[in-house]
Amino acid sequence: MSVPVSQMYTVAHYALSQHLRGVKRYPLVMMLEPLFRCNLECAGCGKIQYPDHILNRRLTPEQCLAAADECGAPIVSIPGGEPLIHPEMPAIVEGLVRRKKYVYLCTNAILLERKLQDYTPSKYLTFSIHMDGLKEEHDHAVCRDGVYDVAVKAIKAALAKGFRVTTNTTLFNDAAPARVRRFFDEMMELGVEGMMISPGYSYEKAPDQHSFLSRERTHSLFAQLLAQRKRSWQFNQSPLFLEFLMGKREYECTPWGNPTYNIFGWQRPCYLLQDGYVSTFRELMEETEWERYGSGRHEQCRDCMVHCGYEASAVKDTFSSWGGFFGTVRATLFPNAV
Amino acid sequence: MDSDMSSIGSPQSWEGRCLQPSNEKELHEAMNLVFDYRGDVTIQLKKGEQVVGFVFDRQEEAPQPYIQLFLPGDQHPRMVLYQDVAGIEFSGQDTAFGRSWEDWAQKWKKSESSS
Repeated sequence: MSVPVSQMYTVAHYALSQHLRGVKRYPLVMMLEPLFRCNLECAGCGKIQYPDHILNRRLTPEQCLAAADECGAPIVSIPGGEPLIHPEMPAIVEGLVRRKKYVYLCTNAILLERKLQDYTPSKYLTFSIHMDGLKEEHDHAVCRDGVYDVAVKAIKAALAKGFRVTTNTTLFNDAAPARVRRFFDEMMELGVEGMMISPGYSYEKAPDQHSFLSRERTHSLFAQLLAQRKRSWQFNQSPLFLEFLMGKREYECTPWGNPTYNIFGWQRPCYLLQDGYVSTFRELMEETEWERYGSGRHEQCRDCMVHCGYEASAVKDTFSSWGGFFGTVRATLFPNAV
Repeated sequence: MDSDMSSIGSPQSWEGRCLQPSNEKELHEAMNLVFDYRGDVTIQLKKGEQVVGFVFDRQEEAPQPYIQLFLPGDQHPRMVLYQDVAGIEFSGQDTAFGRSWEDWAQKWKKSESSS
C-alpha cells in the first residue's frame, strides 16, 4: 500500500459522504496552477506557450487558498508551469497543509534540492517528481540533458529529510515496455513512496502531436507494462484506474473530478481542454454543459485516458458499488489476478 | 495584409496575419482562431479603439458573445463583445509555432554532433 492510511481514510470518508448525500458531481483533486512559467520546455507540453506577460502572472497565496476553500476537494495537486519558481509557494503550501489538504507539489525537481529548506515534512505534503523514464528517455522527453541526474539527486535529498516523494510519469507512443519496467524498478529502489503513470494527452496546442497514444495503443502498452507486476512496485493511484488503462474496465470521463484553477480562473471543462473560464467554482459546476464532453461526445476527448479525467471515475466506482469496492480490494491485494 | 478570410486557408501560423470579417459567420470563425492563438493579438474596435493583449476566454454562446483578454500590465481582464470587433491582427509572436518534436530532435542531433 503506497498511500498512507490517513489519506485513504480521508478520501474514502469524503467520497462516501458525497455519495450518501446524493451529490452527483463532486471534486476529488483540485488542480491548482499558480503560474505557467517553467524552467523547461518539454516538447510534449502545451502549458507554457504564452506571451511573456502571461508567463509573468502568478496567483497570490490568498487567491490559491480561497479557491481551495471554495472547491473543497480533499487533495490539491499543484502543477504548472514549475511551481517551485513561484516565490510564495511555501506560503501557499503551508496554507493548504493548515487546512489539512493532501498536497501534491508537482515539480521537475531542478530547483528542489535548494528549495527543500523552505518546506516542512508532513503527511499532507508530497513532492511529485516529473520522471518520464530512465535517464535517456527522461532527458529526451524534457528536451534537456542531465535533468534525470538532477532529479534523482533531489529525490534522495528530499527522502533523506523525511518528505513524502512520489513520481509522475507520462508515457508516449515510443515507450518501450521493458525499459519502463526497469524504470519502475529504479524508482522503487530510490525509495519513493509510489509512482503515478498516465498516457500522454494530445493537447490541442502541444507542439508534438505525433507522439501521443490512441486508446488501443494505450491498452496494449499498459497491459504489457503492468502484466506480472512486481510486488515491489507501488502505484500512488487507484488500482481500478490502472485496470482501465490496461483495457480491463470501461469508464466514462469525470471531468469535474479534477477541477482546474489558474491565472485565468476556473477552467472549462477540465485540466486538459480549454473551452473558456468562469470566475467561481460554483459557476463551473453548475453552468458547464458536462454532457458535451467525454469520449464519443467531443472530438478532442476521443483518445483521452488521462488520470485527471478517469481516476476520479475509478474512485467513484470504488465507493458507489459493492462490485467496485471488492474490485478495488482484489486489484490491491492480487494485482496480477486475471 | 490579408483581409478576405476565404482566401487564407490554413497557414502554419497566423502570426502577422490580419482578418476583417464581413459577416457573423466569419466573425465567429475569426474569434475561434483568436481564442486558439498562443500569442498577443490586436483587436480593432468599430469605435476606433485598438486593444492589444492575449485572448484567454471565449463565450460564444452567451446572449452577447464576447472574448476576454489580458492586456500587458493590466491586473484585470478586458472584455470585448464580438459585435464591437471590426478587425483582428495576429500581432504577437506565435509561441506554439516552430517547437515541434522534429525541430527539437534536429537541434538535439546538431548539438550532439558538434560536441
